[in-house]
Amino acid sequence: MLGYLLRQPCNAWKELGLLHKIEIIFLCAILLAFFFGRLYSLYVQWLTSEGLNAFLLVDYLVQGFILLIFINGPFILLYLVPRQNNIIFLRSQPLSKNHFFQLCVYFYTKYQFITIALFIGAVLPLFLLDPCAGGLGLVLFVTYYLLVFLIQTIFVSSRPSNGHFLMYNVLLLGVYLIVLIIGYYVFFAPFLFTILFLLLAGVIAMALIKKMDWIHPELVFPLKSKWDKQSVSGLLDFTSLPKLLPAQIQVLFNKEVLGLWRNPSYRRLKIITLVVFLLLLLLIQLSTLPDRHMWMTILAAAAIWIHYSHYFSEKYVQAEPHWFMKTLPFRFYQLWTSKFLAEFLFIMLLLLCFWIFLLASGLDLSGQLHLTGLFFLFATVVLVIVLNFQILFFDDPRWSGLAYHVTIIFILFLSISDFLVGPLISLFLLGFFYYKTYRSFRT
Amino acid sequence: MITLHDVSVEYENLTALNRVSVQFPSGKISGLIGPNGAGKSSLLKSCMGLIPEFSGTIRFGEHDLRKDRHWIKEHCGYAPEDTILPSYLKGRELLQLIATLRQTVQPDEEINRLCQLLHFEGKENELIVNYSHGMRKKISVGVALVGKPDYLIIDEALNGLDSLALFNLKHDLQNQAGEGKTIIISSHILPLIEEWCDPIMIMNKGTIIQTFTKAELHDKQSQTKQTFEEIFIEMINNS
Repeated sequence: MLGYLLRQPCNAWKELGLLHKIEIIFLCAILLAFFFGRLYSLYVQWLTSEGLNAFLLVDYLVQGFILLIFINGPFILLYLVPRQNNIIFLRSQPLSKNHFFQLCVYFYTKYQFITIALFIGAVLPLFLLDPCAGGLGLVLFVTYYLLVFLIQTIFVSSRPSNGHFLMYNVLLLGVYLIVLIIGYYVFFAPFLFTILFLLLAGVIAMALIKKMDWIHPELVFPLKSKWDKQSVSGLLDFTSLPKLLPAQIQVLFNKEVLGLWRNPSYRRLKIITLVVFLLLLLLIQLSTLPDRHMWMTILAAAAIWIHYSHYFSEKYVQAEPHWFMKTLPFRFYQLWTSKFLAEFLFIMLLLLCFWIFLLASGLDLSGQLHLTGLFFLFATVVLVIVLNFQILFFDDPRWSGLAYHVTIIFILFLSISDFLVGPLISLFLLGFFYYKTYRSFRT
Repeated sequence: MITLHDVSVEYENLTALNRVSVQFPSGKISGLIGPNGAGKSSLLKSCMGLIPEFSGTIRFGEHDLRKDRHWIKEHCGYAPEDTILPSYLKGRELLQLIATLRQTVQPDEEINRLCQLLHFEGKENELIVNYSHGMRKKISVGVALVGKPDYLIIDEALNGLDSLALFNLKHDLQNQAGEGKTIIISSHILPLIEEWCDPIMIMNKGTIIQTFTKAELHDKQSQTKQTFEEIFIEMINNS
């Protein structure tokens, strides 16, 4: 089973042309080199001046990332795994216990992949400084990871309800944190205690797995109807939207707005983004950080970046059908304008909130204008990139999402690293992507 | 009339269309049949510009596909075999969108006509996300029919339509053909192709292996005492 599942990414990689492969490897190498260099100098600084030793640093890294996995895990198992197309397809088959665990480990790891990749990126510079500590870090991480996965999978397959499952995880996380704190403050050997605790939990889990015959895949992979109870709003209507635009742009705009806002997941995403955005700004406002305004801007920009990364998931934004993009008589600018306008109001709302917080923080007018302008510029650049890639890779949201992240990172690095030429190159890149999108649409 | 001259489409390791030259006449419903992988969809997708990497020429009347894409989009309706539709629009809203894009005169009357024709009155104000497979097929065909375009390409979109909708559609397409429109239907349903279409083109391995007019097919059937199905299978096996 696992072999067949793994064949999918392998086959997808084989399908790529040589140029694409080189591009991906090149970009990964650039990112890795950049982070490696920065982290290496940071670690050297910490190890020499902060009184840290390499083993303690490794432990902090491992504990930090495992905490992240602890928190991610339940949501992955509860919400993401059952929605996999392969699961939907396979759940009608007679799944054995082994098959069930293989499916879980594959999809769980798929969604933890970014966390794993970040951990590897963070621990790599340590191999240069202290190979022994780096190696220990990797071994510890893998052990922790497997144990956390095992325990969470046992929880999810035996839960009476989703609430119970989340409660088990909160309890486990609480006990884990207590063990971690006791280990750190009382015995100065945190990882020894946490790993002992997790090993114990893992052994119990393993014993349970061997004995039990109560793994019910249908509980872990419920029918679509069980989790797909979405309230689709029928309130919005073609006629309820203001008619301010030329007819063709207006209908495309209506399609965009209705297609997005009637989707419950999209509505939820917008609300969550707004709440998180306001909370972040409020927390920084209440904090005593030295550069509060800078942090406000950085976090607001990060919120925008993360928010729009969801646009490449079909859960939130449906991919355009091939026939729609290629066989209907509308122009590129009509489509682009309609998509831009459908999103721009939300950006303006965030901008307004951001400005109100700046105003409340007592920043002078020129500072307000400067930071609001910076935020507006960033948000608009993000939106332009999103729209270009949405149209360019309209039938492949995954590629589109990857291109989006890589471009944002690239543009940020350019702009931060070289204040003079960087923004100019970024501007050129934006123009180039726009042109490529236009050409692709016309083809 | 749609004219293809020496059209070839090649995927990485596969020749989907091999130097196909064919004419789909105006005022007729042309039928395209063939086994899976014969190249029917590739041919129709090439005609719609959905496969831009083809060699040869495709012309809609005087208009070259490569040069006059927008004109062709304005004058051609296309119903694809898959039914990927904007889930969160209502059926009527999708038809309104298409009618506006095609600048249809009296769009509401046209939409009502289509709802009646395809037999989904009462359902047009429901969201597409709640439609059954058959309803999605109907709306997909409806999208192609909006505004009575001069060229109509139906690529296996009739599979799944109920008998009432098929009955109405047959008469509507025959009327449209009578008005001089060019209609192409690709399907695996042999009786439908046999009854609705004239000429009928049989495809296999990326080429058109035989074209029959209705009269020629009847002659062949009476000469060989074979059904259309038997003739079709024999041709495929021998090609």
